[in-house]
Amino acid sequence: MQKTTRGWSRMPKPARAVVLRRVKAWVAGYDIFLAFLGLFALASLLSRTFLTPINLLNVARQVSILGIAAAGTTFVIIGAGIDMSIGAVIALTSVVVALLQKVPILLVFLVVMLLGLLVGGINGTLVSRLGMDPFIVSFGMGGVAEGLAFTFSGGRPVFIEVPAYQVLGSGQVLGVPIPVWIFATVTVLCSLALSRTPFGVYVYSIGENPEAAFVAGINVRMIRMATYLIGGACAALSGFVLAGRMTTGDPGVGMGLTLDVITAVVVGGTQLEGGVGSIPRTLIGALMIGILNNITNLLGIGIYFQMILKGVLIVAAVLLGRRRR
Amino acid sequence: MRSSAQGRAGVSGASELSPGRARSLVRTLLSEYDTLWALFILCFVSALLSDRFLTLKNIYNILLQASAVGTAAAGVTFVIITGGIDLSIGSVFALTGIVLARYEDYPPAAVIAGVLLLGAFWGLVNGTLVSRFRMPSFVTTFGTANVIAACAYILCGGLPLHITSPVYRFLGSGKFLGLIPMPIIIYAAALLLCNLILSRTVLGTYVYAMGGNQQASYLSGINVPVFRNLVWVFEGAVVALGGIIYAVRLYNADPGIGPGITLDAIASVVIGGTPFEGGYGSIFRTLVGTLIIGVLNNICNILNISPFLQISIKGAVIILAVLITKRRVT
Repeated sequence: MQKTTRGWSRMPKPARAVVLRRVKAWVAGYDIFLAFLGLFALASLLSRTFLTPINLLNVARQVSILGIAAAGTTFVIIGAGIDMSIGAVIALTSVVVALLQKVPILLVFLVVMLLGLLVGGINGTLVSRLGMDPFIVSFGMGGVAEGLAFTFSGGRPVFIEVPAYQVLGSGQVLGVPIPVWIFATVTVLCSLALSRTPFGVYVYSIGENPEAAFVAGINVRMIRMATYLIGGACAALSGFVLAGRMTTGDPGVGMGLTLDVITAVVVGGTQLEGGVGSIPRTLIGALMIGILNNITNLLGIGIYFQMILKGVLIVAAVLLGRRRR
Repeated sequence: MRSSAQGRAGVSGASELSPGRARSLVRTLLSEYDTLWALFILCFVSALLSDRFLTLKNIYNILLQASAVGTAAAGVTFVIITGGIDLSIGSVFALTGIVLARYEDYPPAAVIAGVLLLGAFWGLVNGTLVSRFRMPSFVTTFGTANVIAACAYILCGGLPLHITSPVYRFLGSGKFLGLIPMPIIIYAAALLLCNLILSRTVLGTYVYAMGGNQQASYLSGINVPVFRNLVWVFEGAVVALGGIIYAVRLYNADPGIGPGITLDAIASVVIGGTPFEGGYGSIFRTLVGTLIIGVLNNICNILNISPFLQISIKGAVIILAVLITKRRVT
């Protein structure tokens, strides 16, 4: 294969074709990163306030809630699953945080993480053990969690008065907001787990071809279970941070947030069929949505036009991904 | 093909009944109509729990409440059988309602026809993206859902509109021959039409074929992109009809209806036992699924269970229903 390519490249016209193909392949591999740079440059040109440290940190802080949950969901989606319960878990955990605000914050953190793992575990068990459809399982679990969130809170947002949560949501370390630190940590850890460990390879392989993975000796059920556990835990962490940022436990964030999280993952180029994608891609997807919201706000573009832009961005991103395949 | 199981049951019932045949007939009845049994049990328990449940008024009430989402569910059944999913249903509901209310002064027949065409148009957009550009329907329709909802918001300026025209009021709360509420009549007509197309026409056969195996249907000469697109166009029009029912029943058009309706419609289809993998399912199953959700909502309301807890109960029942029907598919 290599030889024929070299032999061909001696001929002038095909040589050009080869170079062109390589450039195309390179661009295709970094499509979303180039698109991100383009959007970033465009935003900087359109508004003078965009490229200020304060505004950029603002974007990062706004994206952090979405990004933390999206990092976990990336595992689920690469494993050819889907999690429709993310938003409900975020809502439920934020309500639980608000109701338990008098309890020491570390204990609350533990409770909340266990809650996320529990929902993820139920999703994972039903999907991997009983072979049920992940969409409907997680949609049903989302209903259960959302209903519990509304029941616990009595249907109203619950305010958080304990100062520790204000620090969690609005405090800064070294000039960077704490939610952004958490977001960055989660992203780095998830990225390492997915790209530098055998576990990551297993996740890709069960998403690409579960039968082949099984034959190759991978415990498909356990890996699939693990992806849902990670998804649940990240959603819970996201809800924990959300509670701090809003100083409110809001039972109603649910469904809209779920779809936003999945959108961030998909805009990044991770494909719903499974087996393709990465955490950096999800990070870029989340940042693109954040920048889009930010620049439209800065330019005073109405919320309805923002919705249209978001819709077009999603379709365009997926269309781009199709080409790549 | 799995969908022929119903047909087999009929044949074996007509011929002589050997013990083996009888056993297989019973098994077919149990597995083919699994969700129907679930509905019967649910109704039975509901009737025991409240004597108000089994009254004509209450049954009309259940059907009325199911009519709008049920119509959309019948439409989206087509798409799900071809292996797709439509997340833009709620937005189409919002848009059709707003258009109906905004152009109330125009002749209702023209407006209704226009609204159905509008639904078909968005179906065409979704269908083209899905079948021509081979995009996954999940994200595609989520993207278009944003655009459609934005159109609804722009058209009404962000506020709900009232519907006052007597024609629409009749469609919403009038009674056919003074007996049966109009939304139920429209719902029944939509179900019949969908069922006819799905079970008695070539298009219906193609729908199953494309969902079962796209490659094979392409090789056997079905123009897959065109027919897939056609399915989406038809689904769009049926969803718009659901949106009309929804708006005229409430006398009100709300641009913010959103994903709740979408997921209810999809849940109805899936609870009925039509799997996401495609190639299997029926309008009858979707009707049963819709009624399961309807009865569940109804009995929860009669028993005064908090609406918050109802969300949880519904979620659990969805998982249970799929768990029960799962055995058949594998």
